[in-house]
Amino acid sequence: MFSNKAWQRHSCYRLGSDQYFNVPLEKALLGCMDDWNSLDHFDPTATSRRVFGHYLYLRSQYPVLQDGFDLVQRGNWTYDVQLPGSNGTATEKGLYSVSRSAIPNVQNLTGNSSDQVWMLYTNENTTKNYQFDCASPQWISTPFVSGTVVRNLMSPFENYTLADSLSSYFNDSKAPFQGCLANVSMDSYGFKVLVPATEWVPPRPALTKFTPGHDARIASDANGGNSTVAISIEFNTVMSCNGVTQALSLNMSSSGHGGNPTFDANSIQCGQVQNPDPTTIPGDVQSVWSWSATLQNVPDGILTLTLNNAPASDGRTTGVWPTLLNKYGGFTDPIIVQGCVVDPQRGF
Amino acid sequence: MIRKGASSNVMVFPESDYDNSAFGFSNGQYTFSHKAYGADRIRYSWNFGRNWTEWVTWEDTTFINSSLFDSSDNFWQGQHIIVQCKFCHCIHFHRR
Repeated sequence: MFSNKAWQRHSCYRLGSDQYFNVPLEKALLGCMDDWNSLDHFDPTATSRRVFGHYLYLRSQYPVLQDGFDLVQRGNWTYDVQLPGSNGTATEKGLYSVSRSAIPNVQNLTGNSSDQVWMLYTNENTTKNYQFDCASPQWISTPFVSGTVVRNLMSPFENYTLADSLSSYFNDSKAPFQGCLANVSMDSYGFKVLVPATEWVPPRPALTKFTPGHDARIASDANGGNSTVAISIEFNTVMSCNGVTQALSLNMSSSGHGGNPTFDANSIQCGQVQNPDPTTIPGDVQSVWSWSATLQNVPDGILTLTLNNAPASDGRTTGVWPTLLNKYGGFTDPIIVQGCVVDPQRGF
Repeated sequence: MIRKGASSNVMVFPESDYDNSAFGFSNGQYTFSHKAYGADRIRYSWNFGRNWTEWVTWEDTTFINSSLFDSSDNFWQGQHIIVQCKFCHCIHFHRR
């Protein structure tokens, strides 16, 4: 959504809910007091947008995630609870396991990991550890052969080595055996997407944070007419410092007053992020590396920063996804129409 | 995207939407002195939003025809205008 005061004015919900017991309205109750609600919402560093960007990237890399129709429920380690207010309807909680692949002899998918992708997910709201003997009936089965190292396509991208089970992989009562996951820890509402480590691809280099923030407002009369603005951009990957500097372009709209801002070449700093912000939703990644600089001669107005194919240190690029603003691609779009000034004079 | 401006700049601080000092009258000429630096198109309404001018390119001062305020439809006292401004964001993509 583009910047508009109306989003904020409508954002204090007052009614509660008959249908949902103790619905946690939280921010919805106080939204009209939160100035963030009236800012532009097309923030390329927004958590949910970055996570969905990663999903789409994985679909582009793994044909099975894009098109595999064969969904197999491999097992669940769950129990029923009665939640307050649910009037006898049970809620199932625990760990679920599914795998996806092409339907054999029907679909012919080619590319990375064209065989199997295995997913674990939980609806527990605390971190839980699942540990089962691979010889027990509860063992966590996998679509892979024993000894395979599997790697998570979601953060923190960890590895697991699969152990022997009692189940023959080729159904001939002898080795090799089907892979068993002996021990796994699941974060609150966490999920894992596991593929053989040999078929694993790293996430695309991407922005994780922009300071002072997307659509941040800076008062120029409050800081004595200061025309410098400090900015920093954080990434999920170690980037090329010069590459980011060259990939970043500025577009200043200042109604004909003042010139164009520039980077202070001596102010550019790159390096590891020491205390990254904690993640707020499952699947999100933390900042690893940051680029910062001071902008000089920034006139009053609207400054748009665009990052075009910034290269990582290993040469991969961010692609067209992360631009600091904006949006639906290469067209001209009017985004901000605000009632500006109401101005009565002499009476009324 | 960041926005920088004086506290009276409504493009940066949208609460600053009421400003008598911008509306001037001198030698029979009404003027409006814009403060919303960052905008690139503007228009105004002389009758509380019933009619609007065309969107025009930014100008520091808009000269307003005094006859607009003389209409017999204007049942209120005094002169009043609503000014809107907008910012058209343009992004250029390149392939290498």
